[in-house]
Amino acid sequence: MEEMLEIFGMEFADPFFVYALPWLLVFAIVYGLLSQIGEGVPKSKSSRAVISTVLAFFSLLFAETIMAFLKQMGSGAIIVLTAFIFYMILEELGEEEGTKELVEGHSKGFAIVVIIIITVLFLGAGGAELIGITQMLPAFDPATMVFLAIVAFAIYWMINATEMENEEK
Amino acid sequence: MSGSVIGQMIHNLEGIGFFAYVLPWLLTLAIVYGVLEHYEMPQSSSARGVIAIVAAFVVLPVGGLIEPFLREMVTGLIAIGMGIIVAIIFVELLGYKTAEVQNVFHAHPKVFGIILAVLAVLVFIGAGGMDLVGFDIRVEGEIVTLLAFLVIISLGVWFISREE
Repeated sequence: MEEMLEIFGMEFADPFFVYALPWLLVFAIVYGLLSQIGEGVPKSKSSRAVISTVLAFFSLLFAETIMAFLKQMGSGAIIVLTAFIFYMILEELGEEEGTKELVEGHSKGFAIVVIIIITVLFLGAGGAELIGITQMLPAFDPATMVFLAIVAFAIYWMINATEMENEEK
Repeated sequence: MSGSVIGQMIHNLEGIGFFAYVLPWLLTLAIVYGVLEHYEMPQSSSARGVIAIVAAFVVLPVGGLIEPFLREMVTGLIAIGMGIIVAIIFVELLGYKTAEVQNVFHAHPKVFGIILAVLAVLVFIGAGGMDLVGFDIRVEGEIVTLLAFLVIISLGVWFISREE
């Protein structure tokens, strides 16, 4: 990505990327959200524009941190999306062999996988620090969390297996 | 902030109080005028304008307190906004696979509404909103752990009572 930008004589550290993009992003998100609700909240278009502009200016103070987050999140998302697209191509190719049923048959499982991927991408890019919840979270180590997740999964699986047995009886 | 011309300019603007006074002033003006115009109250447009200007000036002395809050809120907004955009891309990519007509957001509006509300509250608390509204509550690791345990216990009780 950075090599591609160099072809155009640009770098990620250029003011265009560091300041203009976060400014535009905040402006677009805020203006879009305000315009989306009903006929627009507030109704006055100029008020919406001023609110969006003011909030966009506040992004300039954290522009470098925000840009680092966006870069990390964007690149992570593209990698995972490419993997998904690759998988979907394989799936379409293997339609006759029955692999297509894997996603459609396990939609909940795939939804959980997608949620986990998005959460990992978000946290990995430093989203928790940006939201400001890191000081609220208790200190934990990933190994304990993985262990707890496995225990939770095992309990869920056992309950499901018992339910299925009861239904069969 | 980098040593670029724009970085220096932002630093200078910060120094003269652009972020602490001018922007909160403008924001208050826009919000108050927008809300008054939204409800067309009072009917006189100039009265609405004057009320908005007065309200904006009233906020000026606390501009320094509001600035860090707004700064954190905007940063949180970007983080959540970007997270939602990435989530929508993923859902749209897989959405037609998980359901024929509607995607996950349309199928479970209440769940996603609750998730967004929780995120908004977290951003508000994280940005120091509780201090601004006068609640000096320190949300720390111990409280979050306690809350997590309470949620797990509630879920357990709900699960058992549902079975019965």
